[in-house]
Amino acid sequence: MSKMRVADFFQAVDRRFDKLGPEEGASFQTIVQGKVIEQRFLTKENADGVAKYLITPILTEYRQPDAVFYYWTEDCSVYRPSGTEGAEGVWISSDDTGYLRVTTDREMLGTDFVRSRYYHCRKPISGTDYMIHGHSMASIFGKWAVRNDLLLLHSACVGTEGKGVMIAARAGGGKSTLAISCLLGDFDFVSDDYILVTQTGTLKAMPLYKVIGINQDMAAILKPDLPVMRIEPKRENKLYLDASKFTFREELPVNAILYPNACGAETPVIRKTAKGPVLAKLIDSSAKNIQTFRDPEMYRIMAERLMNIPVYEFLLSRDLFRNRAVLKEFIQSQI
Amino acid sequence: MYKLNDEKMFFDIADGQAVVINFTTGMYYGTSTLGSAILENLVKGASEKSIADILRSAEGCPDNIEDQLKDFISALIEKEILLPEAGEGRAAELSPEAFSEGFDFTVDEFAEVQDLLMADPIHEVDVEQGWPILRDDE
Repeated sequence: MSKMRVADFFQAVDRRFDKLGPEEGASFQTIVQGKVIEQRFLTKENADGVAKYLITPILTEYRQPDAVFYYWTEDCSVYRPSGTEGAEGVWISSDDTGYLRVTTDREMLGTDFVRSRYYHCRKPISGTDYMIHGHSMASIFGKWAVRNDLLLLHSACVGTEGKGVMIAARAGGGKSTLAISCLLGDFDFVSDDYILVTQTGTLKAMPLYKVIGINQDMAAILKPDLPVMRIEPKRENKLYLDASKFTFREELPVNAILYPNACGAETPVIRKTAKGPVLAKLIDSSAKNIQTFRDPEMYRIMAERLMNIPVYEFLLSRDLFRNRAVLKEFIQSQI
Repeated sequence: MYKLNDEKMFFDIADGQAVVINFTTGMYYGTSTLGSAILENLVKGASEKSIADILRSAEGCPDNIEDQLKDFISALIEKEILLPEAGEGRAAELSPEAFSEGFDFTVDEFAEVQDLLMADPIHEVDVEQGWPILRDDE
């Protein structure tokens, strides 16, 4: 009997997924950086929910996919090794055909390197929300990106006159507010939260999502006047808005990384700063959001990519419009 | 005193937790809340003696705290996170929050899934052993 490989496991997962009976319309195809990605779910609701988030074009006619992503919820204990019933743990297997990780009955994720298929199954506790509202998607896109000469980073990106800056901060650090004020101020806009970047050559940022997120108090000041896709009660009713009426830059060169510091400065100031802490935050935050769990290779790739980009600290005032004006002048004249 | 080896390391501290990334290897290091506060002090040029003085004076401090501090600093140097630097060093500052998790502090080196190891035992199952097999497969 031939040895089982991880890719064989995922062929069996495909058969199981089909037996679970995906609804009609529970998949779609999109193009990301020239690659056709098919996204498969069990319900049309989940497929539509995820499709609404993407800025990338949704195909209306079938094309042979370059990669397939699977997202679904079920009790994941079926995926763990025989003889481990009742045990708590994480089981990992990897070889040159794929990578597989199963966490008790909570989660199964992995990649079939041979067929370019990516899997994320979660126990249905907050499963549907997690899938629809981006977290599963960030995880799978992050793993797909690194195998396609790209990286998914937890960063905003805006620019002007063909030059761009990444705005990198942990959640709640002010990057989305600054980025959205720029979107509304006719900057070139890529994203307020996640970007794809090229892994080699000139560092360029590309968008993935058309949804932007803004706190209620900032929305009251900026008045974005965009359709509300959802309101998140767990984040003080944060608003998620459909920004597709704006033109997103398909790609934007990145000339600098900005770390926003919401310190209430009297005058907004952008100044050179030590790159270590900023890059540590950016890399750590990005890796956590795509669930790489301290993969040295991923950390090394991200660090190598970002090492030579100048890093600045942006001391923000309370005046969002002044901040925006200072940022525009900085991009135009300083980088 | 000591300084961060910024030829190889990115260092940040957020919400009381240190993040150290060796950007040449991708290796990730962490430590406890107290370890993070001590490391932050060392990176800012605090002397080992001033750190030891504060630790000894903390309520509940174990007898071997100075040995623990020496081992901690040795590990930081061995992993090339810190480099020795000439000079007396300045006075350390440790807030009461630094002691919120007790007096244990070591340098934790994270390879993949180390975070998961903290929550669950990890089993790396070789394909030779017969996994992966999907148990309910026909």
